[in-house]
Amino acid sequence: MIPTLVTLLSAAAVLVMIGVLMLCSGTVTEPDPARFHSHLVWLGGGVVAAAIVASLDYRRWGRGWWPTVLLALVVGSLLAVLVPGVGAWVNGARRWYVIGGQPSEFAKVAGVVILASALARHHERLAYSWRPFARLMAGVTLVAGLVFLEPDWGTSILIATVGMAMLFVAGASAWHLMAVSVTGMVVLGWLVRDDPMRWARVTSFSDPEKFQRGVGWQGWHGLLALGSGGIWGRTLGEGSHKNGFVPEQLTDFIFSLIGEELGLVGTTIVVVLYAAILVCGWSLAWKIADPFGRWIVFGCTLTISLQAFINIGVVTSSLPNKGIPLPFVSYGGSDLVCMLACLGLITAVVRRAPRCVMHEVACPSASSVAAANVPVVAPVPSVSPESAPCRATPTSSSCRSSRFTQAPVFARFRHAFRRMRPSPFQNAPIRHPYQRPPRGSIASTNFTIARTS
Amino acid sequence: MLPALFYRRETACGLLMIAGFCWLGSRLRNIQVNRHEELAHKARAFTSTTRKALAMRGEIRDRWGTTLAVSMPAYTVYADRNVCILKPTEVAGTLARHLGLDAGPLAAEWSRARQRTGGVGGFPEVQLLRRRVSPFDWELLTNRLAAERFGLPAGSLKGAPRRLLNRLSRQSVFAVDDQVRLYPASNRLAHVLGFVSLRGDGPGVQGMAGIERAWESDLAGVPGLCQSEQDAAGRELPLRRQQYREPIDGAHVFLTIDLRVQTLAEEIIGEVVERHRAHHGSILVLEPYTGEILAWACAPSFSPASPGAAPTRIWRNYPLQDREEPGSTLKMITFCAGLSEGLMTPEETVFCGNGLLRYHQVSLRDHARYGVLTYRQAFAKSSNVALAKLGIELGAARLRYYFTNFGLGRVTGVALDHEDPGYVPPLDQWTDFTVTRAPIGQGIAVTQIQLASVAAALVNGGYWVQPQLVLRVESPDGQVRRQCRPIVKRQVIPARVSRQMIEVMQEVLEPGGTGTQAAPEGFTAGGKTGTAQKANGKRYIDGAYYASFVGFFPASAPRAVIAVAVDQPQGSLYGGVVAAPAFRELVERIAPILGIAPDKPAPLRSAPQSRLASMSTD
Repeated sequence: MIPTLVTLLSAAAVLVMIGVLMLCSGTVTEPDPARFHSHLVWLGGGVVAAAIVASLDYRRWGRGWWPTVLLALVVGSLLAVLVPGVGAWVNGARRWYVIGGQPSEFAKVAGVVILASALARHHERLAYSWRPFARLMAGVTLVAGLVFLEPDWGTSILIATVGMAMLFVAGASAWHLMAVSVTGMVVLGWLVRDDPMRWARVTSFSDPEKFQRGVGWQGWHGLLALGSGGIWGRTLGEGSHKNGFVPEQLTDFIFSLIGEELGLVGTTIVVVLYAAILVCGWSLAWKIADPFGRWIVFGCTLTISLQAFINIGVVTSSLPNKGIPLPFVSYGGSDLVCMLACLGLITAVVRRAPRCVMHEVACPSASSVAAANVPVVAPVPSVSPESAPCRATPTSSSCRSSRFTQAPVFARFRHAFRRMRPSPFQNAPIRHPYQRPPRGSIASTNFTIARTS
Repeated sequence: MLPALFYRRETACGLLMIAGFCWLGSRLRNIQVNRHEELAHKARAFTSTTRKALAMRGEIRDRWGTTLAVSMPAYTVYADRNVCILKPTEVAGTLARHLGLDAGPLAAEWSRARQRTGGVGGFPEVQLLRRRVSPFDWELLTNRLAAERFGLPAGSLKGAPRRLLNRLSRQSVFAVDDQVRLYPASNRLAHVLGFVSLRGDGPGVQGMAGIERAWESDLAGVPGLCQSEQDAAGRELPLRRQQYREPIDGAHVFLTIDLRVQTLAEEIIGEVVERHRAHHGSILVLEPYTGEILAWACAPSFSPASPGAAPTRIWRNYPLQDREEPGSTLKMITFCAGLSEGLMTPEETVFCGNGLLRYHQVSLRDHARYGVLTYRQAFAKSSNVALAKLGIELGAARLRYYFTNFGLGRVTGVALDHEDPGYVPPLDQWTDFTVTRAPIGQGIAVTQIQLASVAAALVNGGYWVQPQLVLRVESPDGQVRRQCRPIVKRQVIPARVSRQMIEVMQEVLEPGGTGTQAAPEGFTAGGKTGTAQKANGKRYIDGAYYASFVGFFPASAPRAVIAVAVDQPQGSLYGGVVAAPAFRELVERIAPILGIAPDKPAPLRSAPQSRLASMSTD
């Protein structure tokens, strides 16, 4: 688990460094490097915020009044930005406070935590009843709708998609989700059709060259920048499109700058890094036994990777134009801080969450599992550190800590990571449901039962 | 606790996202590898820029440095249509007042565009308003635009109206560097200077005719070149320059022309053409020893600044491009050929056949029935028969040898394009008929510049000197880049014969000769008249004559050869009547300019001397 986390954090760190590098290259065309400096300041702030978040006990946020307080904060901040004196009117929208900062970015992260806590409480009933689903969906719609009012279409669609994906994975009825998403898409389509600017954006995204003198200007020049990079790119600092051709090249279109200066090699590395974050994050979620922590890790990873996917899709003219920054890379203070806070959240969860440990031999006795009629996962009472059969037979492939100690690269950080694991459930032998038991063992029967249920 | 559903659905979502990233990867490969060439090419259309800086075109000056053609900086003014249509009538009115345009159509066009587009100004759309706008006018226009309110209320504005006002006053028009060619001497020397036209491929001008064309490479200079990148606002990025070259201004071309002589020659030939209602006429003044052309006057002339105002046939450089049968003026060559071959002397007598020569069943007539004359008299009276007999005696080969030696049948090499070489038939086409007609200037076609160079060779000691129009080429910083020196090609007749020819040709101007009207007061001069019937290629045209006179002065040491030609004079048609007086007048008027003192006792005139005497006594 720790190596996976380290991989995830390193991937994010590399992305942050690429971002700093590209911002350094992109701001040389500006009269003073103020934006670059402010990016560095925000980066420092983000790292501090991530460290603070990682050091806290995440479990507290899912208990008591915390979710309600968080929801109130999110809704309050989103409402406040709509007030003319408080929110600044920039580019036809009220997304920023006058003093700076975007509440929708905060809503993205806080929304994941709130939804995760709600899911941890309700996920068991989610599949069988529409009531909890409707309640959770209403919450998601409330946050996404408030962001939509700013208006910030991209972020609200992102929030809604992440929320629905979390509901889906948590076991919500596919029919319910489909009904909601179809309704949402119809409403969205109607709203888009109503707004000539957005309709033009939607109809023009696949062929920006045709609309290059209108709505397609940025898309077309982003594409030109990408295309002129070729395989190896025009070397760092040599890009031409940062001289005003792509208006938002440091924020939403920084991927085009990467493509122009670092070429296909650079863009592929960036895509692979996001895919690595996705895989690492979800493999962490896979192994975390605590539902609350699991949803947090899942939601945060999905937010990061989906945002990257949409951003890269927009730059490559595969998706309609949305104002969504590239996580860790784009210039933009609040977004960078929130994305780093996401990493902090994941770290916090991984530090304290109990985790499933894979065993080649089923740990609880088949009869006890069958008798408890609990599908697949061992019931909580069986999760005890003293569970002898489990501890007796860990294999090298399943025991992550032993593998971790073998790796010389991580050896010198060993004590650090040891300290990061104070959970009493550290080695709790929760049987993994997808682990294939040995052929012929009784557990395999168990497994079959679980799947059919 | 956690259902297996979670793992299934998480796996499904994960695979979906991975598939999405793979799709993005394939899109990236398509954009950055497959479409790399295409997109990079299209990107360069935006980002790279090649800019030319105009080189100032060199001046054309006469031999004393008087400017004949000069370039001045100017602007080409463009409008941004998408700004102008925001207030079509007001903007059109202001622009029209300062650029001399018609406001009505402009305003109507912009109003239509406004209706069509809804008045939403988008990307700049360039519309050419006017080329060659002087910097002064441009300054006036921009000042006016800055002060204009365009129908907006007076006083300080805020918000949208203020932005509109700023856009209208600052972005409605813009200017690109250009040049305008001016000719301070107006119509003078138009045929030699030629003219320029606007370049099709950008700002600036290019020579189309005359010196402007022939010396284009010296005059034009080298435009500055800047190959670089630009930002989205069109500003060039100096750090991204791939190539940068400062413009090199064009050189000044000094002509051999003397503008004072030129002015007189043009006045005189203009008068002659007008008086005789001729088709056109021309005068060349040549220094016989150096071949330098002092005047090259054609009438009618045109204005080089606006050549389009004149019919294109007037652009024709007659002395250079019109091949004509010269008529009697060519008898000079026949006569000197006879002298240098030792076939006769000027004092020898010849029987002029009472005005008729029959040779191989073809008759040749004189305009008078001359009997026995000396050759000198025959030349002065321009007897066809005597010269034809001499020609027969010389024979085709020797005649043609002298003709070609005197430069007929080939271009003289004066520094202008499209020179006509004239025509001397090849030897195998010479018949007995040709042998009698060529000596008197029929069946041979020459240009006037060739005729002038023939006369120069006759009087300068027998050397054929190439006529020169360009004295030197100077860089803008005054460095002489090219000095043209006299080009003496060959000796065509011995100096003895040249001296004899000077004597003989003087006789033409004396009583009894054909060119008595050419005799200037106070100066010894010589020459030869010529009257030719014009041919249209097959036969002679009735009533169309080519009257010419070639002369020189002073006889002791000829300083100027003057060739006068009048094409199709009406009324009188003889060279001695039409062209010779022009020679006389020109000689009398240019002698003080050239610093030639009268060398012949003039008929006594009391006025100047007595006036001088009275002034001194006062």
